[in-house]
Amino acid sequence: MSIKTKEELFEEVYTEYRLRIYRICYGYIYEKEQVEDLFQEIMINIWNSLDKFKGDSSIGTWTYKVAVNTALLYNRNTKQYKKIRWAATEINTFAAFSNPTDKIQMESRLNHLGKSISELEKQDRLIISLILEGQTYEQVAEIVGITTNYVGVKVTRIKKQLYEFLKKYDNE
Amino acid sequence: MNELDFLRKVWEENTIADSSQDAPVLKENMSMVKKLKSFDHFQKVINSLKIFIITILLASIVISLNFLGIDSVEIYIGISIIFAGTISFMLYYLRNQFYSSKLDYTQSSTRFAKDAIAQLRRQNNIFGLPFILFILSMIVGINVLFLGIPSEPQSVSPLFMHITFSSFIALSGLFGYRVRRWRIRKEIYPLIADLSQLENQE
Repeated sequence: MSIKTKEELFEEVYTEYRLRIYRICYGYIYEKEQVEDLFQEIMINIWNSLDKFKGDSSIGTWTYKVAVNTALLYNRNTKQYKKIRWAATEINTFAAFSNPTDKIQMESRLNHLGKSISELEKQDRLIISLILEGQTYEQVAEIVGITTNYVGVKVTRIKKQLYEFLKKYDNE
Repeated sequence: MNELDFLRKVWEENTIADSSQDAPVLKENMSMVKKLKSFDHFQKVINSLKIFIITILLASIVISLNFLGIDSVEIYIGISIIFAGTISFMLYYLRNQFYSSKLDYTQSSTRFAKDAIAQLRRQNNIFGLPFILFILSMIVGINVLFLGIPSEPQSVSPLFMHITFSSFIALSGLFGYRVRRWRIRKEIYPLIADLSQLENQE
Protein backbone atom coordinates (compact mmCIF):
# COMPACT_ATOMS: atom_id res chain seq x y z
CA MET A 1 0.00 0.00 0.00
CA SER A 2 1.43 3.37 -0.98
CA ILE A 3 1.84 6.00 1.70
CA LYS A 4 -0.69 8.22 -0.06
CA THR A 5 -3.34 5.47 -0.07
CA LYS A 6 -2.57 4.76 3.55
CA GLU A 7 -3.03 8.39 4.51
CA GLU A 8 -6.28 8.62 2.56
CA LEU A 9 -7.61 5.48 4.22
CA PHE A 10 -6.60 6.74 7.63
CA GLU A 11 -8.36 10.02 6.89
CA GLU A 12 -11.51 8.10 5.95
CA VAL A 13 -11.41 5.98 9.08
CA TYR A 14 -10.66 8.97 11.21
CA THR A 15 -13.45 11.11 9.79
CA GLU A 16 -16.04 8.38 9.87
CA TYR A 17 -15.17 6.49 13.04
CA ARG A 18 -13.30 8.68 15.49
CA LEU A 19 -16.41 9.60 17.45
CA ARG A 20 -17.66 6.01 17.48
CA ILE A 21 -14.26 4.83 18.69
CA TYR A 22 -14.19 7.54 21.30
CA ARG A 23 -17.57 6.36 22.60
CA ILE A 24 -16.34 2.77 22.75
CA CYS A 25 -13.35 3.95 24.79
CA TYR A 26 -15.72 5.88 27.01
CA GLY A 27 -17.87 2.80 27.58
CA TYR A 28 -14.83 0.63 28.21
CA ILE A 29 -12.98 2.83 30.69
CA TYR A 30 -15.15 5.79 31.63
CA GLU A 31 -12.30 7.80 33.24
CA LYS A 32 -11.57 10.77 30.97
CA GLU A 33 -7.77 10.63 31.18
CA GLN A 34 -7.74 6.93 30.43
CA VAL A 35 -10.28 7.33 27.62
CA GLU A 36 -7.94 9.73 25.86
CA ASP A 37 -5.04 7.40 26.39
CA LEU A 38 -6.88 4.43 24.94
CA PHE A 39 -8.23 6.48 22.04
CA GLN A 40 -4.68 7.49 21.18
CA GLU A 41 -3.48 3.90 21.32
CA ILE A 42 -6.30 2.74 19.04
CA MET A 43 -5.42 5.43 16.50
CA ILE A 44 -1.79 4.32 16.56
CA ASN A 45 -2.78 0.69 16.01
CA ILE A 46 -5.16 1.62 13.20
CA TRP A 47 -2.35 3.49 11.49
CA ASN A 48 0.10 0.64 12.00
CA SER A 49 -2.40 -1.99 10.81
CA LEU A 50 -3.64 -0.19 7.70
CA ASP A 51 -1.24 -2.12 5.49
CA LYS A 52 -3.11 -5.28 6.48
CA PHE A 53 -6.47 -3.98 5.29
CA LYS A 54 -7.35 -6.06 2.25
CA GLY A 55 -11.01 -5.15 1.97
CA ASP A 56 -12.26 -8.63 2.98
CA SER A 57 -14.57 -7.04 5.52
CA SER A 58 -15.98 -3.52 5.58
CA ILE A 59 -13.67 -0.78 6.78
CA GLY A 60 -16.07 -0.29 9.72
CA THR A 61 -15.82 -3.88 10.95
CA TRP A 62 -12.08 -3.77 10.42
CA THR A 63 -11.77 -0.56 12.44
CA TYR A 64 -13.89 -1.96 15.26
CA LYS A 65 -11.72 -5.08 15.39
CA VAL A 66 -8.60 -2.98 15.88
CA ALA A 67 -10.38 -0.84 18.48
CA VAL A 68 -11.75 -3.80 20.44
CA ASN A 69 -8.43 -5.69 20.43
CA THR A 70 -6.51 -2.61 21.52
CA ALA A 71 -8.96 -2.10 24.36
CA LEU A 72 -8.60 -5.72 25.47
CA LEU A 73 -4.84 -5.38 25.69
CA TYR A 74 -4.93 -1.92 27.19
CA ASN A 75 -3.17 -1.89 30.51
CA ARG A 76 -3.56 1.38 32.31
CA ASN A 77 -0.60 0.65 34.58
CA THR A 78 2.02 0.19 31.90
CA LYS A 79 1.84 3.28 29.79
CA GLN A 80 5.30 4.21 28.62
CA TYR A 81 4.97 6.25 25.51
CA LYS A 82 4.95 9.96 25.07
CA LYS A 83 1.53 11.49 25.02
CA ILE A 84 0.33 12.81 21.68
CA ARG A 85 -2.47 15.29 21.99
CA TRP A 86 -5.45 14.47 19.84
CA ALA A 87 -7.97 17.12 19.05
CA ALA A 88 -10.47 14.31 18.50
CA THR A 89 -10.73 13.87 22.22
CA GLU A 90 -11.70 17.47 22.72
CA ILE A 91 -15.27 16.57 22.03
CA ASN A 92 -17.69 19.33 22.78
CA THR A 93 -20.21 17.12 24.50
CA PHE A 94 -23.69 18.46 25.15
CA ALA A 95 -22.93 21.84 23.65
CA ALA A 96 -26.01 21.47 21.44
CA PHE A 97 -28.34 21.95 24.36
CA SER A 98 -29.36 25.54 24.73
CA ASN A 99 -31.54 24.78 27.74
CA PRO A 100 -29.34 24.16 30.83
CA THR A 101 -31.93 21.79 32.37
CA ASP A 102 -31.95 19.58 29.28
CA LYS A 103 -28.19 19.60 29.28
CA ILE A 104 -27.97 18.56 32.93
CA GLN A 105 -30.57 15.82 32.47
CA MET A 106 -28.82 14.45 29.42
CA GLU A 107 -25.43 14.63 31.08
CA SER A 108 -26.76 12.75 34.09
CA ARG A 109 -28.35 10.05 31.89
CA LEU A 110 -25.18 9.59 29.91
CA ASN A 111 -23.07 9.48 33.07
CA HIS A 112 -25.33 6.79 34.51
CA LEU A 113 -25.05 4.79 31.30
CA GLY A 114 -21.25 5.21 31.22
CA LYS A 115 -20.90 4.18 34.87
CA SER A 116 -23.22 1.20 34.39
CA ILE A 117 -21.35 -0.07 31.34
CA SER A 118 -18.02 0.31 33.13
CA GLU A 119 -19.26 -2.10 35.82
CA LEU A 120 -19.74 -4.92 33.31
CA GLU A 121 -17.13 -7.56 32.43
CA LYS A 122 -14.48 -6.26 30.01
CA GLN A 123 -15.70 -8.13 26.96
CA ASP A 124 -19.33 -7.35 27.79
CA ARG A 125 -18.52 -3.64 27.86
CA LEU A 126 -17.19 -3.86 24.34
CA ILE A 127 -20.09 -5.95 23.08
CA ILE A 128 -22.74 -3.60 24.42
CA SER A 129 -20.81 -0.58 23.10
CA LEU A 130 -20.78 -2.14 19.64
CA ILE A 131 -24.50 -2.89 19.89
CA LEU A 132 -25.20 0.68 20.98
CA GLU A 133 -23.15 1.85 18.00
CA GLY A 134 -25.68 0.06 15.83
CA GLN A 135 -23.67 -3.03 14.93
CA THR A 136 -25.72 -6.14 14.19
CA TYR A 137 -25.27 -9.44 16.05
CA GLU A 138 -23.52 -10.83 12.95
CA GLN A 139 -21.08 -7.93 12.84
CA VAL A 140 -20.36 -8.21 16.56
CA ALA A 141 -19.82 -11.96 16.13
CA GLU A 142 -17.28 -11.29 13.38
CA ILE A 143 -15.46 -8.66 15.43
CA VAL A 144 -15.31 -10.69 18.65
CA GLY A 145 -14.95 -14.11 17.03
CA ILE A 146 -17.88 -15.88 18.65
CA THR A 147 -21.07 -17.26 17.15
CA THR A 148 -24.05 -15.02 16.40
CA ASN A 149 -26.21 -17.05 18.78
CA TYR A 150 -23.72 -16.58 21.55
CA VAL A 151 -23.75 -12.82 20.92
CA GLY A 152 -27.53 -12.94 21.33
CA VAL A 153 -27.25 -14.81 24.61
CA LYS A 154 -24.62 -12.38 25.85
CA VAL A 155 -26.58 -9.28 24.85
CA THR A 156 -29.68 -10.53 26.70
CA ARG A 157 -27.62 -11.10 29.82
CA ILE A 158 -25.75 -7.80 29.48
CA LYS A 159 -29.01 -5.85 29.06
CA LYS A 160 -30.38 -7.36 32.25
CA GLN A 161 -27.26 -6.42 34.20
CA LEU A 162 -27.18 -2.97 32.65
CA TYR A 163 -30.75 -2.15 33.66
CA GLU A 164 -30.02 -3.23 37.21
CA PHE A 165 -27.03 -0.88 37.37
CA LEU A 166 -28.99 1.94 35.75
CA LYS A 167 -31.80 1.48 38.26
CA LYS A 168 -29.29 1.66 41.09
CA TYR A 169 -27.82 4.93 39.79
CA ASP A 170 -31.20 6.46 39.01
CA ASN A 171 -32.28 5.84 42.60
CA GLU A 172 -29.17 7.42 44.07
CA MET B 1 -39.21 2.69 21.36
CA ASN B 2 -37.75 -0.33 23.13
CA GLU B 3 -35.32 -0.04 26.02
CA LEU B 4 -32.22 -0.70 23.93
CA ASP B 5 -33.24 1.97 21.43
CA PHE B 6 -33.56 4.40 24.29
CA LEU B 7 -30.07 3.52 25.55
CA ARG B 8 -28.76 3.90 22.01
CA LYS B 9 -30.29 7.37 21.85
CA VAL B 10 -28.61 8.35 25.13
CA TRP B 11 -25.34 6.79 23.95
CA GLU B 12 -25.34 8.73 20.70
CA GLU B 13 -25.84 11.99 22.52
CA ASN B 14 -22.19 11.83 23.42
CA THR B 15 -21.33 13.62 20.25
CA ILE B 16 -19.73 16.61 18.60
CA ALA B 17 -22.09 19.53 18.68
CA ASP B 18 -20.94 21.33 15.60
CA SER B 19 -19.89 19.15 12.71
CA SER B 20 -18.50 22.15 10.84
CA GLN B 21 -15.62 22.02 13.32
CA ASP B 22 -14.58 18.65 11.93
CA ALA B 23 -12.45 19.93 9.08
CA PRO B 24 -9.83 21.89 11.09
CA VAL B 25 -9.81 19.15 13.72
CA LEU B 26 -9.09 16.56 11.06
CA LYS B 27 -6.37 18.68 9.49
CA GLU B 28 -4.73 19.10 12.87
CA ASN B 29 -4.86 15.40 13.52
CA MET B 30 -3.61 14.39 10.11
CA SER B 31 -0.38 16.18 10.98
CA MET B 32 -0.15 13.56 13.74
CA VAL B 33 0.52 10.98 11.06
CA LYS B 34 4.11 12.19 11.05
CA LYS B 35 4.32 11.61 14.78
CA LEU B 36 2.75 8.19 14.35
CA LYS B 37 5.39 7.25 11.84
CA SER B 38 8.16 8.13 14.23
CA PHE B 39 6.36 6.40 17.08
CA ASP B 40 6.25 3.29 14.93
CA HIS B 41 10.03 3.05 15.17
CA PHE B 42 10.34 4.06 18.80
CA GLN B 43 10.67 0.55 20.20
CA LYS B 44 13.15 -0.44 17.53
CA VAL B 45 15.30 2.57 18.36
CA ILE B 46 15.28 1.64 22.07
CA ASN B 47 16.40 -1.89 21.24
CA SER B 48 19.13 -0.64 18.92
CA LEU B 49 20.27 1.61 21.74
CA LYS B 50 20.47 -1.36 24.13
CA ILE B 51 22.56 -3.30 21.63
CA PHE B 52 24.78 -0.27 21.06
CA ILE B 53 25.42 0.22 24.80
CA ILE B 54 26.25 -3.46 25.31
CA THR B 55 28.58 -3.43 22.30
CA ILE B 56 30.35 -0.36 23.68
CA LEU B 57 30.68 -2.00 27.12
CA LEU B 58 32.11 -5.20 25.68
CA ALA B 59 34.43 -3.29 23.35
CA SER B 60 35.67 -1.12 26.23
CA ILE B 61 36.65 -4.27 28.20
CA VAL B 62 38.74 -5.48 25.27
CA ILE B 63 40.31 -2.05 24.68
CA SER B 64 41.10 -1.58 28.40
CA LEU B 65 42.80 -4.97 28.64
CA ASN B 66 44.71 -4.29 25.46
CA PHE B 67 45.71 -0.86 26.73
CA LEU B 68 47.01 -2.37 29.98
CA GLY B 69 49.10 -4.76 27.91
CA ILE B 70 47.53 -7.80 29.53
CA ASP B 71 47.57 -10.67 27.13
CA SER B 72 46.88 -14.26 28.10
CA VAL B 73 44.82 -17.25 26.99
CA GLU B 74 42.60 -17.06 30.12
CA ILE B 75 41.63 -13.49 29.30
CA TYR B 76 40.63 -14.38 25.75
CA ILE B 77 38.63 -17.37 26.98
CA GLY B 78 36.94 -15.26 29.70
CA ILE B 79 36.03 -12.51 27.27
CA SER B 80 34.76 -15.05 24.75
CA ILE B 81 32.47 -16.59 27.38
CA ILE B 82 31.14 -13.14 28.39
CA PHE B 83 30.62 -12.17 24.73
CA ALA B 84 28.91 -15.43 23.82
CA GLY B 85 26.66 -15.31 26.91
CA THR B 86 25.65 -11.69 26.37
CA ILE B 87 25.03 -11.97 22.65
CA SER B 88 23.05 -15.20 22.98
CA PHE B 89 20.89 -13.76 25.73
CA MET B 90 20.31 -10.49 23.87
CA LEU B 91 19.27 -12.35 20.72
CA TYR B 92 16.91 -14.56 22.71
CA TYR B 93 15.57 -11.54 24.58
CA LEU B 94 14.92 -9.50 21.43
CA ARG B 95 13.28 -12.43 19.70
CA ASN B 96 10.91 -13.22 22.54
CA GLN B 97 10.22 -9.80 23.98
CA PHE B 98 6.57 -8.83 23.88
CA TYR B 99 5.81 -6.00 21.50
CA SER B 100 2.19 -5.04 21.25
CA SER B 101 2.99 -3.77 17.75
CA LYS B 102 3.88 -7.33 16.66
CA LEU B 103 0.29 -8.46 17.23
CA ASP B 104 -2.28 -8.56 14.47
CA TYR B 105 -5.04 -6.26 15.67
CA THR B 106 -7.17 -7.00 12.64
CA GLN B 107 -8.11 -10.52 13.81
CA SER B 108 -11.20 -11.43 15.77
CA SER B 109 -10.84 -10.90 19.53
CA THR B 110 -10.70 -14.59 20.41
CA ARG B 111 -7.91 -15.27 17.91
CA PHE B 112 -6.16 -12.07 19.00
CA ALA B 113 -6.34 -13.17 22.65
CA LYS B 114 -4.78 -16.52 21.79
CA ASP B 115 -1.81 -14.89 20.01
CA ALA B 116 -1.33 -12.28 22.73
CA ILE B 117 -1.28 -14.95 25.46
CA ALA B 118 1.30 -17.00 23.53
CA GLN B 119 3.55 -13.94 23.14
CA LEU B 120 3.16 -12.91 26.77
CA ARG B 121 4.08 -16.41 27.94
CA ARG B 122 7.11 -16.46 25.65
CA GLN B 123 8.24 -13.19 27.18
CA ASN B 124 7.80 -14.53 30.72
CA ASN B 125 10.07 -17.45 29.85
CA ILE B 126 12.99 -15.11 29.10
CA PHE B 127 13.58 -14.69 32.80
CA GLY B 128 13.68 -18.40 33.48
CA LEU B 129 16.49 -20.71 32.36
CA PRO B 130 17.94 -18.37 29.66
CA PHE B 131 18.48 -15.64 32.24
CA ILE B 132 20.08 -18.05 34.74
CA LEU B 133 22.42 -19.31 32.00
CA PHE B 134 23.30 -15.74 31.11
CA ILE B 135 24.23 -14.89 34.72
CA LEU B 136 26.23 -18.12 35.02
CA SER B 137 28.15 -17.31 31.83
CA MET B 138 28.98 -13.87 33.27
CA ILE B 139 30.26 -15.40 36.52
CA VAL B 140 32.31 -18.07 34.75
CA GLY B 141 33.63 -15.58 32.18
CA ILE B 142 34.72 -12.98 34.73
CA ASN B 143 36.41 -15.62 36.93
CA VAL B 144 38.33 -17.11 34.00
CA LEU B 145 39.30 -13.58 32.95
CA PHE B 146 40.67 -12.87 36.46
CA LEU B 147 42.85 -15.95 36.24
CA GLY B 148 44.71 -14.27 33.40
CA ILE B 149 45.36 -11.00 35.24
CA PRO B 150 48.73 -11.09 37.05
CA SER B 151 48.29 -10.29 40.75
CA GLU B 152 50.77 -8.15 42.62
CA PRO B 153 51.99 -9.34 46.04
CA GLN B 154 50.53 -6.35 47.95
CA SER B 155 47.15 -6.41 46.28
CA VAL B 156 44.04 -8.09 47.70
CA SER B 157 43.93 -11.86 47.53
CA PRO B 158 42.74 -13.31 44.18
CA LEU B 159 40.21 -15.47 46.03
CA PHE B 160 38.65 -12.36 47.55
CA MET B 161 38.36 -10.81 44.08
CA HIS B 162 36.74 -13.95 42.67
CA ILE B 163 34.22 -14.13 45.51
CA THR B 164 33.44 -10.41 45.42
CA PHE B 165 32.83 -10.20 41.68
CA SER B 166 30.93 -13.50 41.52
CA SER B 167 28.68 -12.39 44.39
CA PHE B 168 28.12 -8.99 42.80
CA ILE B 169 27.05 -10.51 39.49
CA ALA B 170 24.89 -13.13 41.20
CA LEU B 171 23.18 -10.54 43.41
CA SER B 172 22.62 -8.17 40.46
CA GLY B 173 21.11 -11.06 38.54
CA LEU B 174 18.91 -12.02 41.47
CA PHE B 175 17.76 -8.43 41.86
CA GLY B 176 16.94 -8.16 38.14
CA TYR B 177 15.12 -11.47 38.29
CA ARG B 178 13.05 -10.44 41.32
CA VAL B 179 12.10 -7.08 39.80
CA ARG B 180 11.06 -8.79 36.60
CA ARG B 181 9.03 -11.47 38.42
CA TRP B 182 7.30 -8.78 40.45
CA ARG B 183 6.36 -6.92 37.27
CA ILE B 184 5.16 -10.12 35.62
CA ARG B 185 2.94 -10.94 38.61
CA LYS B 186 1.57 -7.41 38.77
CA GLU B 187 1.11 -6.64 35.08
CA ILE B 188 1.28 -9.72 32.93
CA TYR B 189 -0.59 -12.39 34.90
CA PRO B 190 -3.79 -10.32 35.24
CA LEU B 191 -3.66 -9.58 31.52
CA ILE B 192 -3.22 -13.26 30.67
CA ALA B 193 -6.12 -14.13 33.00
CA ASP B 194 -8.37 -11.59 31.26
CA LEU B 195 -7.39 -12.72 27.79
CA SER B 196 -7.80 -16.40 28.72
CA GLN B 197 -11.51 -15.81 29.30
CA LEU B 198 -11.86 -14.66 25.70
CA GLU B 199 -9.62 -17.38 24.31
CA ASN B 200 -11.90 -20.05 25.75
CA GLN B 201 -14.96 -18.69 23.98
CA GLU B 202 -13.80 -19.51 20.47
